[in-house]
Amino acid sequence: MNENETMQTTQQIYDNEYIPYSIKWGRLTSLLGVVASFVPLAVLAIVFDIMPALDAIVAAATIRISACVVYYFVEPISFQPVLGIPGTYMAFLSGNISNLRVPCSSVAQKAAGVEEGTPEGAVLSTIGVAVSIVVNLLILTAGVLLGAQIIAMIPESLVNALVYLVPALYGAMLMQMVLYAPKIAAIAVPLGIITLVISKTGLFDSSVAILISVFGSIIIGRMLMKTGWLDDQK
Amino acid sequence: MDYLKIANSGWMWFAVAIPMAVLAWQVVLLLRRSLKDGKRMGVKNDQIKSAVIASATASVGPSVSILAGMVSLMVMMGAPIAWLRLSYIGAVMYEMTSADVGAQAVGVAFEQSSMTAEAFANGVWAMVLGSIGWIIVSGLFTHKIDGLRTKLAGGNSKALPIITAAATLGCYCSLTFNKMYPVSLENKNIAAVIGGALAIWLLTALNKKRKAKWVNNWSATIAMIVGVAFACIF
Repeated sequence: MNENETMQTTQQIYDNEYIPYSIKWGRLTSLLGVVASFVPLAVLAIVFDIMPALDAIVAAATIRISACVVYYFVEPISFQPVLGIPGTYMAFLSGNISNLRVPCSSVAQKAAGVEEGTPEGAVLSTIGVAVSIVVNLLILTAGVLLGAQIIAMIPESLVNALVYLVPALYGAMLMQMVLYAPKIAAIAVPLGIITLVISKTGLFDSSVAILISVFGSIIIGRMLMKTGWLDDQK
Repeated sequence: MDYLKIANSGWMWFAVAIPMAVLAWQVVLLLRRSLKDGKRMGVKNDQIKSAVIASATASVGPSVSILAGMVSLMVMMGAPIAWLRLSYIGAVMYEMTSADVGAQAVGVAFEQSSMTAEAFANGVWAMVLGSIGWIIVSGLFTHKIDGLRTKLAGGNSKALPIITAAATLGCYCSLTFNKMYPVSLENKNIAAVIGGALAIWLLTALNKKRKAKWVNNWSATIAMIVGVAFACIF
């Protein structure tokens, strides 16, 4: 009874206070962030009188936007279940999403022992993302202060080895999820492999592969839930 | 005037400080609220501490990797823009490609010797216009995406963690298997993924009996180191 009561209030705090606040301020600051990203361009134009020809701006922007437009939608949809609502605003405004924010969100939630997709998960995800923003900023600021020459002195062998950090982290997070939800993994892992292989044949774009992988797992998981096979999953 | 004098000027530092201030504001607002409401939801200080330690240590390696990538961006686009774009919205590959596309659109090769102020400015235009789509979509639709997940759970509060676990698995499957392709001995990412996964598997098995807190806090970082070692050895 007592436990039920706390459950209820946690959900209520989440639904009625935490999430409305996060949406209101997260959306406002993100959209303000869009405007603010034009400040360097305004300074270049006003202070230094450097304004590229309009057709050059349009040409370059068209190339970039057409290359990225699918990801504008695919990435928020795919990463939000891990990140939670406030974490999503922060991860997208700060960038380096798949290689830093998403894994750090999972790492923080696992370290605290909370489940993704719960109110507590959203709280810990936000803390994880915030910490990764601070650490990343400190390291880059130190780099800028030291200057390009000093950073270039990092031995090449180390730089080459660092490339493997992110795949190692992905492998670790995937294994953590497999151990946590082995029955769902029994569906998601083969589905992920099949989807990737098909996408490499060119039948659909690799950007769509992650969506199929995410939603395919959700839909099959939902169907299996009805059969009762997943009842022992938390 | 040499474009790099402009790119590294005090005015540019001022210009990049403004979007960074917006990001800082967002982080402070959402983090403060998460800590406050998290405590009311029953999140313990110990859990927060674990999340902070785990996320901070796991951020270091990938951030150093981003730092190494920042060198080329600093050399080409100046320190302020490099510093901004890698802490705000962007990622190394995206920014280098955008700068390249921007320079080419004004008919200039993306090399330091031939770069002009106009090519530099157009590169920044391409970076900004190509990336705001992520923030607009996540800013406007994050809460709608979350509604979709709740809808898929069909109003069943037990279903939400299962659906989230399925989505998370789908997400990490896609990210991981993408790194493991093409499957060959030369693709050292495969060794890194296996190393990371094995390390987590062993640490989790070890921790089942001993419940040591340091394992929770450090497992992601240890897994990354093991993964890199695997990639270097095999």
